[in-house]
Amino acid sequence: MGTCLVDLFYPKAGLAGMQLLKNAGVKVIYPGKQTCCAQPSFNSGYRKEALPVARSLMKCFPKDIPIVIPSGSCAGMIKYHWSELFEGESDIEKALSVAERVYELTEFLVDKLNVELTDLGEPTKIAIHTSCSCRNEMKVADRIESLVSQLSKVEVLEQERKPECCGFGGTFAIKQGDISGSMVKDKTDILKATNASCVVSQDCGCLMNIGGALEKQNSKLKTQHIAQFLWDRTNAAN
Amino acid sequence: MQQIKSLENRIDEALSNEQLHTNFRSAMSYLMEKRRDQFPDEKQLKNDREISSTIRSHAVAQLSELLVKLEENLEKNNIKVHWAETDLEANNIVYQILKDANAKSVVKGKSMVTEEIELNEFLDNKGIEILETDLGEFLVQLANEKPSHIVMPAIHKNRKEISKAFFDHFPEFPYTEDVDLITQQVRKILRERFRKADAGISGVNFAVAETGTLCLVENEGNGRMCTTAPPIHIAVTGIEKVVEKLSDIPPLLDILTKSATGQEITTYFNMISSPRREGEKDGPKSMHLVLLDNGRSKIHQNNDMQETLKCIRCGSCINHCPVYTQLGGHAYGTVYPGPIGITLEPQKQGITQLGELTSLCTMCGACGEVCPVQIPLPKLINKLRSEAVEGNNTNELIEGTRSKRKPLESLAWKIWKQVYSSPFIYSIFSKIATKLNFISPKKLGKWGKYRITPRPSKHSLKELANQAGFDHE
Amino acid sequence: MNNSREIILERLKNNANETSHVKVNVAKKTYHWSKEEMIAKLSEKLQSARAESYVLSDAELIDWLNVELPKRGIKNILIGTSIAKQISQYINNEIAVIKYEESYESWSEKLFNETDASITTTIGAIAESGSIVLHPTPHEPRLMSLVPNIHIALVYEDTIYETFDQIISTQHWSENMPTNALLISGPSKTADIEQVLAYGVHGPKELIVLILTS
Repeated sequence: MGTCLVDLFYPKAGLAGMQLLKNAGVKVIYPGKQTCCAQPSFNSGYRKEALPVARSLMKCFPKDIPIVIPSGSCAGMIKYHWSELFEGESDIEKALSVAERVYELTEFLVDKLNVELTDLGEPTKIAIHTSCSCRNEMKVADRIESLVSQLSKVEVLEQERKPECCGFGGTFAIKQGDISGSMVKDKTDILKATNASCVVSQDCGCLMNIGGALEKQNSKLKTQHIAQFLWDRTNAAN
Repeated sequence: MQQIKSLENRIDEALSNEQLHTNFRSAMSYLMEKRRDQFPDEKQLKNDREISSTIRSHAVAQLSELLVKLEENLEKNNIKVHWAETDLEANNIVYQILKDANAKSVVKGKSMVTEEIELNEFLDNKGIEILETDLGEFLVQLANEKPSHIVMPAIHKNRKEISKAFFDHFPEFPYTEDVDLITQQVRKILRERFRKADAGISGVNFAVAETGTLCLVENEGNGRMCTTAPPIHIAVTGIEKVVEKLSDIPPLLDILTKSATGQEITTYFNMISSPRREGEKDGPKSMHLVLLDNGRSKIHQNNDMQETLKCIRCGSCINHCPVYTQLGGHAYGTVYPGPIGITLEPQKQGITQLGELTSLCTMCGACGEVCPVQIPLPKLINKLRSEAVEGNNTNELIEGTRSKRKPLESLAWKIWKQVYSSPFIYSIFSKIATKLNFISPKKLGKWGKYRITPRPSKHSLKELANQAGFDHE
Repeated sequence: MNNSREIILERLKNNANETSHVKVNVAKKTYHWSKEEMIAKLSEKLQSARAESYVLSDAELIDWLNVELPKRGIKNILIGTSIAKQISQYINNEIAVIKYEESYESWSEKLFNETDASITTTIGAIAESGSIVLHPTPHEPRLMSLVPNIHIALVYEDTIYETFDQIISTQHWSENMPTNALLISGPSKTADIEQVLAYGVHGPKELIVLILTS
């Protein structure tokens, strides 16, 4: 599954994820009718609107095979919150069976595929931003660290207050724009202070937030999704 | 509570206050680190949280029986029990006790529940002098402010601000910013007050039904002063603070102090089971407990939200909340701020008045991860959001369901639903968004103030996947 | 008032939401410490909380009182009526012994303003948290361990327990709670001003624990 954000805004990251899986010997299917996990409206309280969207997505995954998602937030939504969304609904069992099969991308690469990566890139220093959903919900904060640690020419720089939320929170960034703005400023200050050349993350929501802010600040600090980063580093082709 | 400024104004004020930002940053980092140091073993922590969660779940589930048992055992011990459905009732009960005893001066230990009912203001209006004795609360009272955190009430103030407020009030002391000296001066001032007070008022951390015992944690000694020196002791508590057995106390005490202030244990743990008995030479001659409902029994009836009542008021969720760190406590405009505040207060005071508070949350989940009794705070906050915009109008358990539903927003989500629940419509939308990606919204609320506005790519992932030859089925 | 009670209880009873009665296995913590280890742990914890602790035999106790009380500038000391006779033997003549004989009201000013120190017994201590445990009695009233600036507490080594839970169950607290049970784990303190620690706020500024062997 690509996720709605990746489909429209970070398609290359999604493709990179699929290629990484393919390289590891997995047959990757991209269901053409997928749309969204329904988190945006669920988190805004509009569960009635979320249900049909979730149902439409559910139809894309009829087979009992793993569903890999390049986003902790979307993976978490399906895996842990579809049970709430579908509570009392007649198709809850079906929803739960989909939820059971969900993996976040780095989780799948490490836990199920045991990928081995060879670094073909130039030496570089990066910072890792773990999304709150990867850290607190999916509990896969260490998977991104473990993948990056396999890249011999990549140095991961330490940062202050690493677990702190970047302020995205989906619609929070719109509804409480100033608080969100203050939070992303604090986060970008910390990231810039590491002197890394790139910030890498498992979630595009955070990247849109942090990357967008860095760009507005005219910073040279780049951002990239982990899938894109890993693909570039292990293939050297641009 | 009087809301003179709107939530929006209070948020603006908080965000533009650099000093506040700095104070809270350093305070929250300090508290989080102290807590982390107390829980070095992940597995042990998980186990401890499960135990505490179970104890509190059972207590909340059996609340009516336990309260009856508590009352029985307290009365056996000569502690008079009073029940107050509302804050006004509670205030009147306290006032009546003081009036009957002709009590004119009262010393008070830190108690969030008395903040909740605005006891100080009530007694003040009746001409009874009531003095906060917890150092943080004392300093906040001097500055004529409200506490900004449930455990560390003066956390929003730095040394300079504190010294100024103190010496404005007590010009007889030489000005200093030395913490030790200020503390000694406060000790001097309050000592005589403790000795001469007509009554002492306190909260309760845990009320043990099995033995009729009220338990209090503290570091300063003011709590013990308030509950031991004056001839009358009035304790006020929310009805949810009861636990079943004495053996429930050690695990709860342990996780409370470690979560709240990162201490293995507080200086004093005070377990009171009776006023002064025959032959004893000190202790209050009479003791009262006021059991406050103020919306709690209604929350209890709401199965979805009942877990809110497990809270042991440690403040850990508040310390870890990134939004609270940005705003501080006052911006919330409620007695309880942070994650527990935005969960509890709309349920107590209604969604119409306080529904907006649920937007003060990024759903980062940090609060749920640290709650010592495993209250699923993000889940409860999300449920309140749902109640606020599409709740069932016949649900009488929370006031104001559906009151935050806005026509524009609900229309937007309806359109979103149409697009995203239909692969066909979505494919059209996707084509338009990508091919015409040079047209992107200039404004997305305040998004553009802090970041560049995102643009859809020229090609969707679906297209790229196609091109790269990935199967669809 | 009665009406409120009924209203509240009615609401609470009506909700038949019984959580499952599966109790989590509350395996009580045991450390299997030896007596020496318990004494060491207790001392370590007390000292890290800025209390003082000394391990003394009976003879050493007498010496300690003789030397330390005057050394610390203590001019008078408050003692409970049960041990007053015994202890006052060991105290220098220059130091006045005050017995807590009368009820608090009759001498509160002296207690608050003119009492330098107190010495109390304890019913035990908890090694894990570094706490001493007091059950005040008619002989040793509550304020003894709170008001004077210096509190000296006598802990008998055989009454040191590993955990809070152990002392509660071993001493059968649930069957008979005293009017006021106290756990004291250090001198009074606060961190309310910029999280900077300050001692001796309202309770004693000094807590001295004498762990008595034999």
